[in-house]
Amino acid sequence: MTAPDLNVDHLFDGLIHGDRLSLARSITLVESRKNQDRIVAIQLMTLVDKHLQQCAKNMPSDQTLAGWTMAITGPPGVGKSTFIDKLGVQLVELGHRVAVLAIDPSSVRSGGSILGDKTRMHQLASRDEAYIRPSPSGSTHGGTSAATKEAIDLCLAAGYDTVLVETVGVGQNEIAVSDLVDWTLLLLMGRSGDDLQGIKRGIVEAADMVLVNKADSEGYEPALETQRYYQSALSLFPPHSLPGWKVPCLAISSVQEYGWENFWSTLKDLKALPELPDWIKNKRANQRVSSFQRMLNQALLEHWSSSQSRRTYLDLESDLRTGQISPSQAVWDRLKDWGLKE
Amino acid sequence: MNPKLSEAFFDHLLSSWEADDFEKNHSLHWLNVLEKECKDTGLTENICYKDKMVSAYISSCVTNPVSVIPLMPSQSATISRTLDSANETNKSDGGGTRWRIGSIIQSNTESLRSSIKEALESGADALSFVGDLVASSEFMPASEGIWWNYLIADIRAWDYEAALGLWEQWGLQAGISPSEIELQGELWGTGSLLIAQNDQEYEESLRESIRKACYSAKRFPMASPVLLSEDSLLDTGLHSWEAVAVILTMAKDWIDHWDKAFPLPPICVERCPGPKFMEEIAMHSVLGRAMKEIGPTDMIVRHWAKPICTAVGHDDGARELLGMTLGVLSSALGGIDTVILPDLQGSLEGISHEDRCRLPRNLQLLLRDEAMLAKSTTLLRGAGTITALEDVAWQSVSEVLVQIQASGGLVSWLKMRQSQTMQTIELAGSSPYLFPWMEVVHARIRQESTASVQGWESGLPPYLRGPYASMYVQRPWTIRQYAGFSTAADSNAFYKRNLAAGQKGLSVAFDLPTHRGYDSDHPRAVADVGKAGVAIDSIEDMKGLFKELPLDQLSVSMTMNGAVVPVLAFFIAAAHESGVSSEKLTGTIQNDILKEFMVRNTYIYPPAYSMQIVAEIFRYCSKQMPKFNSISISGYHMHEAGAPAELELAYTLADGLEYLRYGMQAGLDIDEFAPRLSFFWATGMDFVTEIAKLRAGRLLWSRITREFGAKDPKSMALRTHCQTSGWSLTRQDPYNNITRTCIEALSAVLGGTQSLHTNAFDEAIALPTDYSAKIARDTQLFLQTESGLCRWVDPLGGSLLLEQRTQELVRGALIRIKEIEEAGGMTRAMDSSLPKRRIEEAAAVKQARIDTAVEIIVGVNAYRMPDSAQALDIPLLKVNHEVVLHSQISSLDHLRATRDQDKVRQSLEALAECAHRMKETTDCLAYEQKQESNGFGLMELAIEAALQRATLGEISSALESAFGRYTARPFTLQGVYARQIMNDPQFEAARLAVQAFESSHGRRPRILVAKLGQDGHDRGAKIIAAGFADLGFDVDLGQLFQTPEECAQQAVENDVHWVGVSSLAAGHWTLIPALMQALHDLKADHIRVVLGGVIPPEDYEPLKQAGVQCVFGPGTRLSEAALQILKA
Ligand SMILES: Nc1nc2c(ncn2[C@@H]2O[C@H](COP(=O)(O)OP(=O)(O)O)[C@@H](O)[C@H]2O)c(=O)[nH]1
Ligand SMILES: [Mg+2]
Repeated sequence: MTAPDLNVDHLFDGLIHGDRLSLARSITLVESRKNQDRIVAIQLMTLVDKHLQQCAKNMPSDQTLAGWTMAITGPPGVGKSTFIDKLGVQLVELGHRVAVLAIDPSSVRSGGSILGDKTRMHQLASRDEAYIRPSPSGSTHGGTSAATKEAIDLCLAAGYDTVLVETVGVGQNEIAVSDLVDWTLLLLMGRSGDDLQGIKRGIVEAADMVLVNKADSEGYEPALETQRYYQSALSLFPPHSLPGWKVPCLAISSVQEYGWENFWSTLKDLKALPELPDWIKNKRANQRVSSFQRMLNQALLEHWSSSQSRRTYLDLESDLRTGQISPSQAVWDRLKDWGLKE
Repeated sequence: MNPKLSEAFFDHLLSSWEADDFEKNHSLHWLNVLEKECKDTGLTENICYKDKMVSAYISSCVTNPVSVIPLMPSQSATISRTLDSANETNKSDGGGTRWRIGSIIQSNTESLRSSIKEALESGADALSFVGDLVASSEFMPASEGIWWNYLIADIRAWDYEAALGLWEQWGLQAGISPSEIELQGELWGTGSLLIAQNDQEYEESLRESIRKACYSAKRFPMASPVLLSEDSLLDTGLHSWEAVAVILTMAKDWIDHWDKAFPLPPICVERCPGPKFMEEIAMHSVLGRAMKEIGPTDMIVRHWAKPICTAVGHDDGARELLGMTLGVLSSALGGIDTVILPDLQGSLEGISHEDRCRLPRNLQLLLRDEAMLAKSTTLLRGAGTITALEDVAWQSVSEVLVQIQASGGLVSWLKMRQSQTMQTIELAGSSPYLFPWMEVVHARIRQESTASVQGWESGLPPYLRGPYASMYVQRPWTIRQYAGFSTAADSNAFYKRNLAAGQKGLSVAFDLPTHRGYDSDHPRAVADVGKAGVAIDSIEDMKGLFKELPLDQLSVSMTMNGAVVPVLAFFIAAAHESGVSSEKLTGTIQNDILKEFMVRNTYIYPPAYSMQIVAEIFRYCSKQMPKFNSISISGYHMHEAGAPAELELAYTLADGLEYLRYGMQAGLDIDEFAPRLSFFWATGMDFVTEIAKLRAGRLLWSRITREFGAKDPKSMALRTHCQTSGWSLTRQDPYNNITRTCIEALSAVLGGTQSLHTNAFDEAIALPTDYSAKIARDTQLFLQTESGLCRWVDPLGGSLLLEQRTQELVRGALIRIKEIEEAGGMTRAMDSSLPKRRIEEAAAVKQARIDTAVEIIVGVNAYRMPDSAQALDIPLLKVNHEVVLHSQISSLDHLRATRDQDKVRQSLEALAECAHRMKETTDCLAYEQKQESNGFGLMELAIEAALQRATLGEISSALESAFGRYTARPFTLQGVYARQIMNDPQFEAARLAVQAFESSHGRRPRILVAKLGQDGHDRGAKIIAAGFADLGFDVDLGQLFQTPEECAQQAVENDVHWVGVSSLAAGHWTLIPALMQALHDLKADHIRVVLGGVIPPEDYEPLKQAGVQCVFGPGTRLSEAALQILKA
């Protein structure tokens, strides 16, 4: 099968004019693990980056929140997709254009994955103002998270002013999704008393807002109990980096109306915080730097482990495992090999 | 009050297997119930049920065990009551035996070599040669790479000594010693008897043959010179009990005259069973056991069968296949070790000579490997009916044995017998029965209870042995063929033809748009109008459907769940307008919405409101339609979605429980509506399990309803419809499906179904034609009239194997029911998708087992048709879709133009208003609260709207305005398939191909698995999705009921490489071109389309021409499909 040529100018042109096919192909491009594709992707991302800067500059300063990106994290089955479906439709009705990047975990064994999230967002999917793209996490190869950042930018460039990222959140080898977006929402489910203690503090700490989902029918009581628990637990956490912001915990239902009024008014409070624009500007600036660092890390490692020297790489891995060489020594040797160190 | 099954209920049923006091008390009244049933049906003269006779017979059995007239003085006088001895003669293989599959080979033809090869490759393990092998060729088995040291070669009509010489020579070349040669000759046999003029000649031939045979007996201990076949005896007009007596006498003569200085060679006895299932089993077993009694203990008896399948003057190939099926089945269960089937003689459309040889072989393979009979040949151990029949069979045989002795010799007896032919036949009342004393047994429809069914009788709780006391003796099951296609007028004509041809009830299949509440002119409907069933848009269509059919006499079953309100309203209104009031209507409406959410997906509204509608219909029917079954609680679709028997039972009964609760909450008394609940099972290929399933279901339901407070025994009786499994049918070698369906139908009958649908053999390819529908119907007529099965109540009851399987199923199902009960009942359990997940997991496991040929499907993963074979040229039904669509749309236009719009609007508003009221009540009333018993009047309003000519679409939208339309959330299981198939080489090959694709394309292959149109059967799609993900694909799932445009949009947004469409409902010719066009419009021609499902073979090429990359039929292995699409 011959896919249409991936011509950077065509893609970029289609992209900024909101052509879905171009956006779809662009995301495929930045996700591709092929070297040739990477080269094209870099060209494209350069154009996109410039374009986004341009847009930001033209924006009146009180509108820095335009292009708001948000991660929805939480364990599988808590209702992330369902929540996004409902949230997305409301955003669309408020006049937003919404893009959703749904990252499905891949099977460790086969590498394949079933990308089912989109079918759980059928209401949003049927709206012209929304674009939903499920992506495999590719956890066996790493690297998708870098692409996720690029995909977010592509969506922004294609004119989607709100980008939502659905992901199970921090996996071991992956980059914390909160490092890719403006705002992180953690979804939890109601639990009974004993189970509550078990939730990892680290997961909660990365969140800017916590929601306890499924506060309806049988789930209502447990959700409220859990919400009260976190409310008090969160008050003991170190203060949030955004001055004046105390991470809230709300109970909500993604299939009924409960909690939504509260949710929107909390968001309103947030946007009313005078420090928010600067905080975000700052965060985004930092993210650009960390993006670079991450990409460099990954590029170096990928370059070296997949190039002609794959054998040496595997040998080194096994030397590391068996303790023949220390990690620090190994890095030093590499740098010397590349002529970066004497 | 919210009735629940208590912990104690489960504990009790899980731990004990016996009748409780309630049941014991009831079963004492069995004769009264029987008598009442007979009076009710007015068929008293048809049955000798009278107590005196029954009890006289029973007591005679008990007090004087049937005595055997001493034929062989030294042998025991009675035949032991168990079948053990007969079965132990065979090589045992884990509770069963594998009989040898015999094929007939024409020796004197050009193609001798190839036919031998083909027979061996396609599963034969005994060859029976017809004609002279030596004269025909210089055939050398060894040099052909064939050696049959594990085969029995049957050379009956041919010179035994010459054959031994030849075999020895061939054997030497292949290094096989003469002692290993298994050969069956006919140096002496029933033929020798028939040519003897008198008893002296007979004796001379005996002595002469023995003299010859002694020569070779030492050298060839496994070769047999004696073949005692019923074949030629039956030709002379003997009854089979007489033929068996002759065979026994001859065998005895041979053994007595044998020169003891030589080892006794094997003796072969061969029966030619007809279709009388139970009687033939009994006769097989009697012959087998008697043979054991008459010879030395180390004597080898070959126990063969060559079923009679052609009836004089019959040229019907299908009928012949059915006869073969029953013949092989009774032989396998009766302890036969080799079954030889001749080539098919009768006509079947489009078959070749090779097909005629292959089909009978396949038939045996199907029975042995798919129906798993090789594991169940001990099925009859303990079955009371068979034990009784064996007594009668033996009595018949032994009486003849005495006559033979008395007449001084076999030849004299034969002469005498032939002179009396006319008279004897009259004596037997020219009865179709196998034994002269059948009338007595006939009366004895109550079988003596064996330990495992003690205290349980048919027609009484817990109905283990059948919901009626007399079962088919009084009234056979109803032949109810599910049919419907294109327009009401076409279907009406089809129904009339079928009724004229012996069908009893009607069962209407509606098309998918009707199921989903769309009128034929709805944009989402176009592709499916009139395809999988008939299109019904209004009362006018419904009237057309039943035109000139007497609705007050005809029982009508309607498969409708989603759009149940308008369809039932149309039915009632149509009957009303033709002068039949609703209380006269008989039949069934499926109305089983729970299983739609679980597996079949033709729902409309969300579960909670749908359940309110179900309860409304219960209410309406219980008040207005006392003879109408208000629901048919269906396991069929679960079975077809891959649920094993335990799950099918458990979830169907759990659904039943839920309906009981809703009915009771709607204010109905359980005894008011429970008797009108009916069930619907699938019967698949697992013969014993399917029989057990029906029996287990009845037992469980009886106990459950009692636990829920039912007082009336009628509430406790589970009455059921059955349908043979459509899923089990294959596209490959479609005539195999006739046999499959016959086996499945048989298990439904042996399980005691009340009505039955048999699938047409071309179901896996297209909609049934008149031709295939006739064969399907004939299968049931054959079982009713020729198998003799209608004369028995629970004929296999008491069988240790069957009762054990029944108990296992009861327990297995209980565990799952308990799980559902703990989750708060089925409606809630479905929220967590637990039942769905269990079913899909089972389906994925099964698929993997099939793909790795652990489970055999003949013609698909084993014994495939040779590639060279011509595809069968079967005529297929084509509905002219354009015409149907056009005619529906124009009648809709006409309807809308001629009705009173104001009245229509008013009636619809009233309906919508009522629906809103229902919704509010459902939303705010707690689940437990009881409603007023007069309900909401929804049905009444719907009938009014129907009478005003509101359309189906309008009525459903009126309800939809309140309830909304439900969208399912698909999910799929990963890893299940891979775990099963792990080490399969082709699976690995496909995995590697995926990896190669990944490195060259920079990402994994990505496919969107889609279902288009209104077809909700998603088993195939889900298995493909799960399997492909396990192979390493990234798989996107399409929403159910997508339009081609929505699908194309999703494909583009997700940027997939392929769209894989799964189609089961004949919509592909509309939907696929639309999909390609939509992709083209989105500038996405690079996205390829592949298609899988039920696609007629002749469509493959045109579809490929139209740009479809690959087309896959049912039975394609997933890894193979993956390799193919990756290749292009
Ligand atoms: N009762 C209830 N069920 C919910 C809610 N949100 C999600 N669910 C259900 O939870 C299950 C998982 O939802 P999904 O959105 O797929 O979860 P994800 O894996 O986090 O994306 C689905 O069956 C949803 O119907 C809610 O607010 N209330
Ligand atoms: Mg999700």
